Amino acid sequence: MGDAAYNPFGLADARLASQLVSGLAASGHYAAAIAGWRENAAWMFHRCGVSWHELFLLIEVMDDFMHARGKGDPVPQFHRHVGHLIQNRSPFDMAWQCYAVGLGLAPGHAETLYNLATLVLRRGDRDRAYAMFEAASRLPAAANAQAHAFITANAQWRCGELLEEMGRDEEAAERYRTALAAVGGFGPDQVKYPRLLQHLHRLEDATRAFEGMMSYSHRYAPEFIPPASGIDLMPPNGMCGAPPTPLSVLRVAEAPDGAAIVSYAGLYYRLPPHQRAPETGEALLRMAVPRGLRWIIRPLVRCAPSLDQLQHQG
Amino acid sequence: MKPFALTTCVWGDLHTDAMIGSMFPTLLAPNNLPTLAQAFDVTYRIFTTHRDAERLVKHPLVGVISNHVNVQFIVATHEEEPDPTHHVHWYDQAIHDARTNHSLLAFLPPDVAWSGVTLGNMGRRMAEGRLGTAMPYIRVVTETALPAIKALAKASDGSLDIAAGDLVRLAVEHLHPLSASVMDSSRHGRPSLEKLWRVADEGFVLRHMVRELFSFDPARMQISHLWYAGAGVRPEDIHIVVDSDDMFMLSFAPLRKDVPLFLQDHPVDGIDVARSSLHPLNDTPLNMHFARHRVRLHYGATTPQRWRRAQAKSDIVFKQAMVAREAIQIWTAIRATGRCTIASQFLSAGLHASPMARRWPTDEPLTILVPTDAAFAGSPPWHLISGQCRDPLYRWLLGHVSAGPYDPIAGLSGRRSLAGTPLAHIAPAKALGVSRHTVLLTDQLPVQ
Repeated sequence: MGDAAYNPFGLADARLASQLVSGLAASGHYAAAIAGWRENAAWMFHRCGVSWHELFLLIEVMDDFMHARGKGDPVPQFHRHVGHLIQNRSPFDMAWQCYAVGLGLAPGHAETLYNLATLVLRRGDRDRAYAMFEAASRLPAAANAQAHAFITANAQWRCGELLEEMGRDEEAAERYRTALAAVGGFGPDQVKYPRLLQHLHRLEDATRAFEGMMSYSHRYAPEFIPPASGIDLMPPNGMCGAPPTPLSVLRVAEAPDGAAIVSYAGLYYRLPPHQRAPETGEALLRMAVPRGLRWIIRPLVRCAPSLDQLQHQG
Repeated sequence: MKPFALTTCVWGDLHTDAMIGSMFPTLLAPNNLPTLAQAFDVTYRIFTTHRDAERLVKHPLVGVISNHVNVQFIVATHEEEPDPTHHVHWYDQAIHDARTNHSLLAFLPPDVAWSGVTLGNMGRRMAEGRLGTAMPYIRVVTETALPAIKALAKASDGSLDIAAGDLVRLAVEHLHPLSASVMDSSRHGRPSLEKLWRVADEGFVLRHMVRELFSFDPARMQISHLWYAGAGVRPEDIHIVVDSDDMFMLSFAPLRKDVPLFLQDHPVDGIDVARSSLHPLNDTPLNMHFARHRVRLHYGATTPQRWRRAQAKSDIVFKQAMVAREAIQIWTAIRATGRCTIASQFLSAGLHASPMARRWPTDEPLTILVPTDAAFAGSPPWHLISGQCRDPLYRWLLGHVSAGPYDPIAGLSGRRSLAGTPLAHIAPAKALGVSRHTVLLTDQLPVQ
């Protein structure tokens, strides 16, 4: 995992995606339509990132189980199949890359910023993660966010955790209080708030906060609750149900005249008959952009076209 | 013969495929449906959609099942993709119908695999007069487990007889992250009423706070919304399975089911289980009874020493769960009086910031003195809430509790607290029954 891969705002692929948008503008598409594509594509990258991010978590859960097994115990099939699922990729890197491209296309998406911040924190960059959670807490949640995601409150809570680690306890307590006021309960994580109040010798406040732990509550992981947007642009899954790879050139169909239909970065391209599909997005764009992106078919689709539509669209 | 209704609610390719590929073949194992059908007058009702009824009714395995029991398809909706809540309504209808017909009832989920003796053993327990049976299960990944079970060699009638030990081994091979996350070794947990401890090379110890009933007699008992044993059911009425050789099943779930539920970097602990058990949908009169059972899910030879070690670990966590559950029940009761806000705060702090749940010294019924707000005379001992006072806070709480039930005639004469301090000087103002304990409100503070 090279450092370049961890620059969330300077990825080569983000540059390519932006180039694609510029290309659309040059080819005469309306600005509003391009903005719509940019927004949808950003959510598509977010969703693809979530798909890889989920896999990263599930692998950790199953790894813990593996570590507790005996020599004679069967190996879970998950471990035999995970290689097919991840296709020699790192789920962590793939999630990171997808979120980074999504943010490159739409820097104001609180959900994507939050998700990328969880990975930044996981990598150990606390200061950078804090800045990202802080920004996410001030951005509006997506219009069609799911009710139980509570992205703003979760970002506030994460800020509280990091402020506490930094020794900024009073600020941390205020962040916890704000987050709890918004959602009522944070499940087992909530105990951090009264414990911090104990540490601050705000003992009466601590007792009241401990009472908040007595009733059942649950904190859903918002990073795995994407807004309803973006699914219509998702590229096809890989082999064996592997998560989608939006930054690969994926061949999805072949037209009757021999033209290949490929997917890249949330768009579908119809290559001329007998034109060999390029292997990288960069190569694809080198071919497409000078020609005014005339190979892009239905770049502004709101619903993924069926393969049949793709095959017959010239 | 006593009527016995079996019920499945199913629709959609995912579930009908699992039913045909796994549930039906294992249901037909000789000691499952065929044995049950010899002891009861069995009717098997399948609630489904038009499309799936057409597909299922022609399936050869349905024909084989019909050789043993009366099979009925019930199309209860005009929709082909009904809302998931439909299955709850259909199961509720099955309960109503069984109650009317004085029939026993069991739910057969479509996406499971049964061990080869499960239904036969369940039938025997019900024939003995039990009101219900509660069976453990483990979640497995549909994408790998279902093809593996489909690939197993079937008998000529399509039946598949999987020994319990082999089914537990399959559970390990196809373990779902949802089940892996409640393992003692998992760094990531989820909301749970159960926890698993691994016994290397041999299986798992399972502890649970409650379990939905597999079979029950709806005419003789109340059932909760989630099909737990309801009010009025006695512990001895329910057969709780404690060994996978008795009854056991695998439950299929797609790999990515319920990922947002995971609690990252938080393993399931006893207080989590207690809190989940007090969610209104999970809170039943038998929860403490369930919690005392160690369930053994095993394969191959068993080594007593290994199992004792895992069971001892499970005892520690479930003791914590049971203490926490009762502490929360007491907290709820005293808070509701409106006169004990300070005491309720100290109890909640004690549960989360003292060794109380882990070290509680007795499992007896208790007499608990709860000072009213007036008793503190405006100066509660807030210093006990300090992080440095974990042990003093615990001792302070013990000073309010006496082991044994309360006798209103004898009062507190001669009684001492669990901290060893005398309680005779306390004059209770009001007594409340909470679970098996007595809570005495008082305007005095015990001697510390």
